[in-house]
Amino acid sequence: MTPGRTMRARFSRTGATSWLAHLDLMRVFERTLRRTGLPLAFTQGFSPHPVMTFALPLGVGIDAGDDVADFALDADIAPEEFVGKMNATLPAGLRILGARIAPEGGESLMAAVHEASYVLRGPGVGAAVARLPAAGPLPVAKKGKEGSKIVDVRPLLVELAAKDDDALEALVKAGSRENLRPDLLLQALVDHAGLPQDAADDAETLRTALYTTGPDGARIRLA
Amino acid sequence: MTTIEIPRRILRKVEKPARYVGGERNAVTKSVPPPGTPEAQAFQRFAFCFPDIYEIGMSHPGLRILYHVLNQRADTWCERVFAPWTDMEDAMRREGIPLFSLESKTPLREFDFVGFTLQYELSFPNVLNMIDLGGIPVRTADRADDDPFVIAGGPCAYNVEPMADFFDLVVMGEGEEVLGELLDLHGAWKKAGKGPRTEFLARAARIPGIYVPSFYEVSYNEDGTVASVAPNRPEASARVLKRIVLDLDAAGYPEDDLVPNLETVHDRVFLELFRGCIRGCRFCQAGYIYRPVRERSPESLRKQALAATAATGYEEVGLLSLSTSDYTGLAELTAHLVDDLDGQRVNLSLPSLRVDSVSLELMEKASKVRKSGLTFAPEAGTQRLRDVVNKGVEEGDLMRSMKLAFEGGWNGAKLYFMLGLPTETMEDVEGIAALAHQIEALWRTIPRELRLRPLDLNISTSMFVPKPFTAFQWEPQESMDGMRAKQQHLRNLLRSKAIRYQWHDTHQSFFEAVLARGDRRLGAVLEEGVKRGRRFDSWDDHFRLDAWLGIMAEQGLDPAFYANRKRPYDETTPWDHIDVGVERDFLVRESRAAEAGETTTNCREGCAGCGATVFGGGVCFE
Repeated sequence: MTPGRTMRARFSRTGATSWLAHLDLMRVFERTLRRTGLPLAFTQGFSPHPVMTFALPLGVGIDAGDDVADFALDADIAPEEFVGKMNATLPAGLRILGARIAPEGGESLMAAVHEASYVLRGPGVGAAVARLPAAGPLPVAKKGKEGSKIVDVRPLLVELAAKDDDALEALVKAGSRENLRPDLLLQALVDHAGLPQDAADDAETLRTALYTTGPDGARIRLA
Repeated sequence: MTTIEIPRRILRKVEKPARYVGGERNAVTKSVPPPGTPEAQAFQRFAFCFPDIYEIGMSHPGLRILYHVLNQRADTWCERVFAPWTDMEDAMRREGIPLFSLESKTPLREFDFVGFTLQYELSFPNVLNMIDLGGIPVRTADRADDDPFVIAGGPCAYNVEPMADFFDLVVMGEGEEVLGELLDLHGAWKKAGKGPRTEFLARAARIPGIYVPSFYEVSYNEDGTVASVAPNRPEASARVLKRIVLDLDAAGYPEDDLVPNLETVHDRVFLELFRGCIRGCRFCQAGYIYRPVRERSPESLRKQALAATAATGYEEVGLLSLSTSDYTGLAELTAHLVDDLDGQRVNLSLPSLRVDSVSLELMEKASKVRKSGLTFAPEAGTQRLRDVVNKGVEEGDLMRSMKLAFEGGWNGAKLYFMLGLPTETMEDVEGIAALAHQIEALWRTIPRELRLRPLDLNISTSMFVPKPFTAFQWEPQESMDGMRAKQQHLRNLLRSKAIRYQWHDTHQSFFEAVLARGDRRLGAVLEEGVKRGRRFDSWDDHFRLDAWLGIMAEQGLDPAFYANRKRPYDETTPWDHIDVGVERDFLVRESRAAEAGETTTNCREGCAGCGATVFGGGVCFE
């Protein structure tokens, strides 16, 4: 993407749009961008489409409180104009919270993501946290295309605390290298802390923020 | 008023949960007046139901047009309902969740009208299943005064008889105007305090184009053929004439078209160039039932394209019609459109065009780097059989077109044929292979430098299904065994690296043929099939012919009676009381001409007197 013309936007998603797979969400953004009439940068080739990068894909059924994506523009646009035009035409449930011109150089948005925070809500979800073993592996079956494999949730879990009986807050490893899916965390509570399966399957799942690691090792919120 | 919320744990377990949540850009939400107020009395809820999954239903232009037209009314809210996939249906039935609309999540039961579009016969079981999932009695006779009116329209509505026991009323023809009249009538009836169902239906029956099946009695002869279909009430006319929109430029068009959140089959802006077809190919029901041809002006279409791309953000615009090469404004339209759209990085998707130098140039211009595939539909392998079906493609035309295409950089094409056409012999089947081999030979004469990739020729054959309101409505469908023998023979003849041969399953075509010319006795078969779990019959991995044959046998009905019988011209058909404009006498003349291998001119070459002039407009008066 052309330096100085990439709009880095923070966005939230709830409601109907939370049920979209990542590729479908990208298509929704593409069409929204086209509707705004903003000067967009397009890909070359057979079917040109707007250029965008998401920091971390959102799984189906996961709400986002403050996720980040970069959108490539073809001319200088003020962030307020971008935010205004997008919010005027995004479908219900998707919203741009803020935007700024992305800094030049540096690593890609995707490579920058190291951790993510989640709030998981449902009957007994918070109370189950205290019942989770304080140490040791937390194996969970992860179903994939070729069958299921066992994943140890423990090393991917950075921080975990109950907010109240029916909600927890978690900080987990996230990104292209290591990533904990929130449904696996819920499954760990089912398998190792007695949370009923229904409560896990029905839990509200909200990703509240994404984090990168600064040069001094400090955790920095991605924005 | 209830709203249905599907629990997260169910949405997380089904395929593509976004099918069931709505929330799309340009979806219409209206505020329903509080119950008891005068506004509430006049407000009407219409559920537009497409009997297949979201991705298929959302591709249907008719839904997109009528959704827009109905929602223009201040007193009406039209919402969408699609068939839940089997995984969601199982969950819904298990947990007692009724079928609901996407916009407001209102259960089907709470609507004033539940309207189905009947696009293909194999969707009939899904229709019944959706009515049942909606908590509405499947049979008209069982509905109470507070049940919605379950109605239907679309091409299969012209012979709706297999489904006659399940619809309160059926709309014949194009819905834009007649649905408005129906809603005006219903609004007034509602304001006046409603009343018994039959009272409303009696008034509706007086609206031209509306057919109330329960107002007709069907009697049968000893041999099972129909003796008569006669009105049993004064409000019902002896014949129901379809309705059409004469001025398409004035007709509604969804500039603010729905933008699906999921990828659909026809994921683009559609431009409906014209309705009907001038060609009169004898097997083609669409060509007859949508007569007379009525075009939209290039100016209207250009305006629609620009407005719709701006309001939707779609990246592609597609041209829609039965025979786009016959659109008189094609050159004018595409001259502007390609440039307009190119500036916005919007692709113009062209359907199969007659391949001549003009259209090849157009295709080059429109598709830039990638060449979209070429398709031809010769339908039959020999000139003799092409003349029988009145498909005016000459072998010389086809070869000239292929040569132009090859010289222009295309390396292949897809050719569509039908097997089982009337008078067909093995020689005609072999003619398909002969054409393919001729194209292969032609390819080898093209200079090497123009042959950058290997030849890729696709031959596709489907099974001829005789349809009502065509010249072939008296013909038998070929037996499934006969079909398979022909497919196998053709397969053996087409063994070449450059040729891919695709053929369609005979089972579905056979059942389609049974339903297409079926009568009311099939209603019980359909109902029983649905009770036993039949759904998504148009999906070949769900269709079970043995199950349907078993039910027909139980009911004492013979599928061959419907599909494989040669019918005499003077037999009363189950659809005689429906009038599409094209007259039976014309169809008989065409049938005889077919037998003699004689062709008929197209509407612009010379009027053949089909009867469509009765509508007083369109190409007949150009």
